Amino acid sequence: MNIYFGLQTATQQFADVNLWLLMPELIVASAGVLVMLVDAFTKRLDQRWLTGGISLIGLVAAAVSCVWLWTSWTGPTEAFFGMIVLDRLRLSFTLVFLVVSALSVLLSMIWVEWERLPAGEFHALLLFATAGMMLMASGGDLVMIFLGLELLSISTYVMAGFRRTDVRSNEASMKYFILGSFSSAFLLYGTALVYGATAMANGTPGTTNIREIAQRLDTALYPPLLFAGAAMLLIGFGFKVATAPFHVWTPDVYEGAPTPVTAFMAAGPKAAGFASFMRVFLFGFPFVVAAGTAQRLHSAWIAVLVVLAVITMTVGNTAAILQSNVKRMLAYSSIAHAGYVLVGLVAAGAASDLGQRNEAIAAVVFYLLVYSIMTLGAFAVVTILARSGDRRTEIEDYNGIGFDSPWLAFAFSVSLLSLLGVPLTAGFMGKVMVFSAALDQGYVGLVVVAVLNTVVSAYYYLRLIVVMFFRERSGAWNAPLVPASMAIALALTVVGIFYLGIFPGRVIEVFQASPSVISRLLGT
Amino acid sequence: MLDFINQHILSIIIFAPLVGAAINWLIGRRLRSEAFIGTVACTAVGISTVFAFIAAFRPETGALRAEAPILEHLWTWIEVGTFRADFALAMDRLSGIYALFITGVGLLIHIFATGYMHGDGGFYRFFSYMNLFMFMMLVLVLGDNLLLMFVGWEGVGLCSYLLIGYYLDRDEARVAAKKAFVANRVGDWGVILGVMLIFFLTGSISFFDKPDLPSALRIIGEMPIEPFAWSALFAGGITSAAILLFIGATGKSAQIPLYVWLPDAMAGPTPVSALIHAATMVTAGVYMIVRCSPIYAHAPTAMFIVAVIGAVTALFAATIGLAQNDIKKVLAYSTISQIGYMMLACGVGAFVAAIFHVMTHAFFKALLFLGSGSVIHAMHHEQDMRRMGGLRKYMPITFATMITGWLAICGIPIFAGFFSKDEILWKTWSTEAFAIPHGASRALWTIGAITALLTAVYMTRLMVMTFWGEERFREAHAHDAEAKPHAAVHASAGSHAHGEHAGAHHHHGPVTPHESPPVMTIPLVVLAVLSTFGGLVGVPYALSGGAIPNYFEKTLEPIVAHAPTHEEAANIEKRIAQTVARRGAEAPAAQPAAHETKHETAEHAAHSPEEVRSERIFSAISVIVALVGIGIGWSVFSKRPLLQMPRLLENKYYVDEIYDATIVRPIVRGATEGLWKLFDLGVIDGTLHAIASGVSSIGSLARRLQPGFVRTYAAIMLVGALILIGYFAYYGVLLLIRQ
Repeated sequence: MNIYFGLQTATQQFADVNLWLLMPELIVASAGVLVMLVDAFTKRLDQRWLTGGISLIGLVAAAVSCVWLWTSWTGPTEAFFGMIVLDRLRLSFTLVFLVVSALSVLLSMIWVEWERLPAGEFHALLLFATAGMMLMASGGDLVMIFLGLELLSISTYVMAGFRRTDVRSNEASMKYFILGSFSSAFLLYGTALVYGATAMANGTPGTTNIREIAQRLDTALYPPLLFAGAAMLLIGFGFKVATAPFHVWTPDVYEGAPTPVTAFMAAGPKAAGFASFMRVFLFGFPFVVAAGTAQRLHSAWIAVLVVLAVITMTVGNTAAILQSNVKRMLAYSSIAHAGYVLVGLVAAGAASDLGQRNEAIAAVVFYLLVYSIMTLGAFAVVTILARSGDRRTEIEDYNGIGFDSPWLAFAFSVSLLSLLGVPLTAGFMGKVMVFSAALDQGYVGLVVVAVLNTVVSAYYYLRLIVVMFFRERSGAWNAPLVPASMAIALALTVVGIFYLGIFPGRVIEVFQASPSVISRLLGT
Repeated sequence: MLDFINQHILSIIIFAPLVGAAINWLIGRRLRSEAFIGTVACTAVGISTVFAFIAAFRPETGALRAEAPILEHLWTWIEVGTFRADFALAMDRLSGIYALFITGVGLLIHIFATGYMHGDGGFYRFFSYMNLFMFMMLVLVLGDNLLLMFVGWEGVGLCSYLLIGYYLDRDEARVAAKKAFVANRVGDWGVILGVMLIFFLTGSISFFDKPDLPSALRIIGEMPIEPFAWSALFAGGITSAAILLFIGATGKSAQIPLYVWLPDAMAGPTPVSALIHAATMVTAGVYMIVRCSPIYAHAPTAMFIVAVIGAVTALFAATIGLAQNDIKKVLAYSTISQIGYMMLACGVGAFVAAIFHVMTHAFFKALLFLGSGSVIHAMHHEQDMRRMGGLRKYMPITFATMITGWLAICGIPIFAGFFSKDEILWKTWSTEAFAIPHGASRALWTIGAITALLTAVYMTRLMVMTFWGEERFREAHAHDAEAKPHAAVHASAGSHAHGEHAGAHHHHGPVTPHESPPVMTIPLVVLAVLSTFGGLVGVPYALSGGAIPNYFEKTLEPIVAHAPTHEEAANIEKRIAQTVARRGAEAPAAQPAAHETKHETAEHAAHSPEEVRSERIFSAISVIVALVGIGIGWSVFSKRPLLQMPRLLENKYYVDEIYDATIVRPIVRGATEGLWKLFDLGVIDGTLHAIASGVSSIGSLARRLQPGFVRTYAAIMLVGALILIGYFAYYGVLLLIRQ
């Protein structure tokens, strides 16, 4: 097992190359390149099956390698001088990303044909974005995380504007690009400040390695710089995961971007943002007992996150009530959900006990998995109903379709109920996990606010169901055909929602447990 | 194959009816072939029956032979923290006996129903529900923990609801189904709270000891006995748990105060009444109490309440039964009364006698119900006994079988009911249980004896009105107006007195009754045989003199708890006092007390000559009571079968009206006036509207913040960022100053 691709032994100091640890990322990126090449050399006609198929195979292979790393890897858990790390946080997030991407591929396979768009390019971009997300989760260094984020962002900027002839799509892409660059600047500047602040008195330069940052906090030469750097990092990640007040780009971009892209953006990049967010803040600025800079910094970011969580949930839910456009409504809903995840993040950050922290992290990952699945399910239905050009996305367009397209309406209702958090659905278990983690840390007030927000959210989620089933249809409407790939995606999301809602134990255990337990579960 | 069957025998027993239900629901409804549906349903139950017998009697490991129960772990159902509920089955001696008569009687009733339901439009629906009921009932008795039992408990409630309301087009069926459901919900509330409390007390809900799961019942069995005091009811201990479970039992087993649903439940088809509302489901409460007998043995207050409620219910229902004219209503009240006996037996600590009576009652009450079904069938769905009479000529087989049922329920020797009822009465008189104060046992016995007398009277009235005397069915219509003004006055009572089909009133002209087809009479004959000889498995020592061993008691005695006697309770108290005195406040001597109990059980089994003598005397008294009752019934009703009974009894003491006025209507009023108009419209809607208007004003603000211009967004983000950075920097500078 200990065969490395690269050089080892004496020269390790100079080349800590270990491609095994990068396996999932490499597979996905290679698949992306392969898709581009195939795209260049095949006729357009059957492209989508080919490129979609290659993408799916690549994603599955990456998942297999990920499981392999998790269960059987006994080698070092760091490579490239700490740039890449291998731990539970990374692997569980990687699995979430792969699920999101696979569902997105299924969603977009027919859609690209409807829209007469180049399938190969789209799938390649999707895979590159996925690779970026995975690097964001696996990076053990601020620089690596930034690179992953840029890889992801650039791909998604293009995807958001993928319907070139559509003004809304272009506008969304442009806005996303400008505001995204703005936030990237914050992230980069934050990285630089932290680097500068962690320089040591003996002349050792600063560091961008997260583990080392954590060790140097108390000896930081310039605490104000460190604090400002942490604030900027928080702003950068806050933009990516769309916490208020850095959420303002979300509604416009989600509404304007093609629906499958919106689905992907609402699920994947948000989860990736949280992966890095957690990596940097939980491991870089961790809880410490001894009074000092580290302790102050920790209490500062926790306090800020509590406030941000409250604002984010409240803004998301109240604004969602007012929307007349389904995509926009779901955009605000995704903001609200970021708020719920922040509750879990606060719990993980505040946990002084390692076991509790791991539980809280598992709760957050579980929540993001659940959220991704139900959001993708909802957007899948929106994609189907919107038809080409995203023409029907107003709530009125959903009037009375429930009995004409019972299966679609059922799938949509299940997703919405899960987003609301009705028992037996995955959303409920997710909320229970995250909120109980926060309760364990004593954040009663925060959880009360979160639960009240859930109650408010019932209004707009249930309204869509009411509209579908209890209103007269307005305007002509014929039931859309549901292509096979879409049907599979929908079936997977519905089954996933119920499976995770009724038998969450297995998955949570996987996210929580140490690798040896995983291997026992999988029988290897 | 054989191995597979051996290992999964209990699963086969419970799942066969479920498969049958599924087949009938999915395929039967398309085929609409009565032969197919009937065959599937009966085969499914037949499979259960065969395997239940195998599981109970197979050599060495049979549930009724071996000491250890048959355990079958299917999967771990819920595991949260220390709470664990398995989907696991267990057949010990108690559940073995239950499974045997449930499947056996169930099979006979299924066969009967294929004839009874012939020509009904919902044939497949009926048999799907019936099979589903069998599945649920078997889950109830074979579940190896309280929660799985509760699943079955709820499941049979659901099936009962579906089958009472089976005649969808009839209003009273719908109302009766709802009533049954609601009354049972009240009881279920007690059960679920009781289960929670048991888990709270013991940390387990399992009935049996399993490798990594202790038995809740054993843990309670090792706890000290609670004092006999009313305060124990609310102490949250064993007594509270026992009484909560008993609340559930009063719902399911139709005891005071929740019995009101059972008479109305007769709106369902007669085989349903026989299976669910006489033989099986309604005795689930008795099953639960006997299953949890260690809990009751440790809760004397609860036992006393069970005994009193049982005795009072028995008498109360018997008096109402005297005055009913609907043949099924008489049987329904009789059922309530008989279950009262079983509860009485549980309350005085005679758990074995209770189960014995459950079994014999299942035989003879199923027989009586099916017999009445046969009569109703013959009379073209006429249920009013005032329009029957003289049927014995026309229906000889039904008549003959009903005779055995009648003698059995009256308690004539040899017939099944005699042994069980006699045993209950004797155990009531002679009980030494700590829970029953000395005087109380005499009073309870007196109530029981009066009930026995009344039982004989009303059953004789039923037989006389139905099978003897003049044939009143021919002039039924002529009579309608003047002979029974009463029925006309009570229009509601009249409408539910009639038959199985809407508008039965109109098309039963003068009819000539006819004997039912063999599919209906054969089950009757089998049940008649069981009602006649079924009691011989439990002949008490005093009557047989040891010639016939009391199989029943020998089988069940080891697995039910022994209720502590006065003497033992006193000893235990003394010992606790001594222990406390000796080593301070710690450790009451629970362990030795449990040992003592077991030890004395063995002694208890010995029969002293005086005891035998008095038991014989009491048996003689029972027989005399029964004969007197029959005599009274015969002499009064053979001459005047239409004798007007007291209005108070005929109207069931106006309990329904009282409940309606004191509970139902206030709730309805409170719900409409208070909850709906005040709370729903006022508070909730008011709040919502306020929120909505508040939200829209926020919304206009939000829209101003969300105009779609990138520059605005950037500005908002920048302001947010500055605030954040400022906050962090402030923290950092503060730190710098401190340093």
